[in-house]
Amino acid sequence: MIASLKDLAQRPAPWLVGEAPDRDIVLSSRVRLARNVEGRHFAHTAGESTLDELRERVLAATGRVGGLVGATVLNMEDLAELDRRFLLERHLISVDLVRNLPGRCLVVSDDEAEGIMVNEEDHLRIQTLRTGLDPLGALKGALRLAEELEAEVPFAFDERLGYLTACPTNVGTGLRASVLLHLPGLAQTGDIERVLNSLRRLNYTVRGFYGEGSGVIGSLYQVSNSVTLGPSEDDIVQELLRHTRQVIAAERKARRYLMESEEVGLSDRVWRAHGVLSHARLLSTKEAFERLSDVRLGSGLGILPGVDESMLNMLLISVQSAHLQIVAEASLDAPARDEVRARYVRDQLAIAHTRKDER
Amino acid sequence: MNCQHCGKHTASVQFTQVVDSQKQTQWLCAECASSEGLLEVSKPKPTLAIQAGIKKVTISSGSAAEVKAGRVRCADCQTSLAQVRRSGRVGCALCYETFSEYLEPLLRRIHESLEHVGSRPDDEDERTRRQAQLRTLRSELVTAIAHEDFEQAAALRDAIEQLGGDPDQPGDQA
Ligand SMILES: [Zn+2]
Ligand SMILES: [Zn+2]
Repeated sequence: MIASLKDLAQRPAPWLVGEAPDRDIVLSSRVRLARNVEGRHFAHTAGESTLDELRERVLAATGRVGGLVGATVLNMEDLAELDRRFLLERHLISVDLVRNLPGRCLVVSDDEAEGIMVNEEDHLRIQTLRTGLDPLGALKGALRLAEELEAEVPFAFDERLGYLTACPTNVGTGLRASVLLHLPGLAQTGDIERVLNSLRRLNYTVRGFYGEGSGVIGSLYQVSNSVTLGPSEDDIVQELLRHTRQVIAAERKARRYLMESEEVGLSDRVWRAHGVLSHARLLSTKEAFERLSDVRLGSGLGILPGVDESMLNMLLISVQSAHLQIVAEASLDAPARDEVRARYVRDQLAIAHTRKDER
Repeated sequence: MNCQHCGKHTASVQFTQVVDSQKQTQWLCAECASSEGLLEVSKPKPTLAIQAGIKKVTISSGSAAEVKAGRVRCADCQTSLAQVRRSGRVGCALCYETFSEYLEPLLRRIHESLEHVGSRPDDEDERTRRQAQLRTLRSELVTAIAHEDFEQAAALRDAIEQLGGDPDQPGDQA
């Protein structure tokens, strides 16, 4: 069980730390499976009593599912808006669960790697997260959860169309597999749009890391499949893997080019970013993300040796507004947040340096 | 003049409805007019009396086919085609069948094929049979309610519940 949201806020999201191949470019992989309970209206047409009944059934079932024994259940009705925004920042719930409360809940494992959103657009959104480029591991985990749940609660399934979902864009496998990419090299060489457009032509959706409408900040991109009906789950994820490897190669090439053609300029930018993060007294979210992106690039290229990449990844999540306020146990206005954020980032970098000196 | 329902499209249809012997007139766009879902939006759960009232709708323009398409509602969740178009979502499993003419071209555009390949439930055959039975019972329930055969409706509700369906449906709309 997760003891409190504050505990959660003060520790890194486990799916952003740990060793994994290519993790300087691919931060994490994620899979979600959309499922609906047979014989019930989809969440947006179901009445509150139906939503409550669905939640009870799903929760009863999760108690018997291996991967979710001892998992934490958070009912959206019981949480303050700040708590819900915190879970959104942590990528555990969607905007839908921040806004709509009755019958909605989150089931999440202690390591935050497995979970279910109940009564989101679909009755169940089974979600798994893995460090680095591991969409197959995420898929395996999600399919295992789905299979175990299905033995307890039958899901709406059509022999031709497959698993039925509220939105026809998800029907079939109900699968959305995504990778979180850091592509500052391509952003700087100006090749990023070309790469993203070819992904879009291959029917991938590309979005920023920080939610719909916020655009792309800090060169972080989420790439996910949009076709769910036709190919098998395995085919979808293998294709995503193959195309992600091509993006990784393009990013490596861009970084090499930058190191060869403008090493001093690049190095200056990285060290300036490090200076800002180490010394600033006021730091907006946007500036924090952008400077963290530069430092992360510098770390990946060896310009800034010994910066702990897991710490940088943690900061990408924990400098966000709801995180800061949960840790501070206070509601902070924007100027106060910028001050708290600056102090928090300074402290984290200082701790990382002390640790490095001790080694 | 903009549609008094969605406020976005240009109104082209004068929609008059009689509810509890009160005449109400609205200017609507073609899309909204093809739906009778207006009452769910503006009124609480329709009762049988109100539903009887809806039948006196007069529509002074709009193609017959469009109106006919708009009249079709999912027998289970009561969602109309216009609502599916507006929200981009269907209301229940049966909607996929009810609106298949509209959904299939859409699914063809979005996806690679119309045949699911990939994981399936272990007890698929049994489940498919159960779903077919539920569908039949639901459409019989709609007919029974329309004919005010409440005894038959109660029996059908019991049968639906026994198969794992929600006996309060159809009509249980949020
Ligand atoms: Zn309209
Ligand atoms: Zn329906």
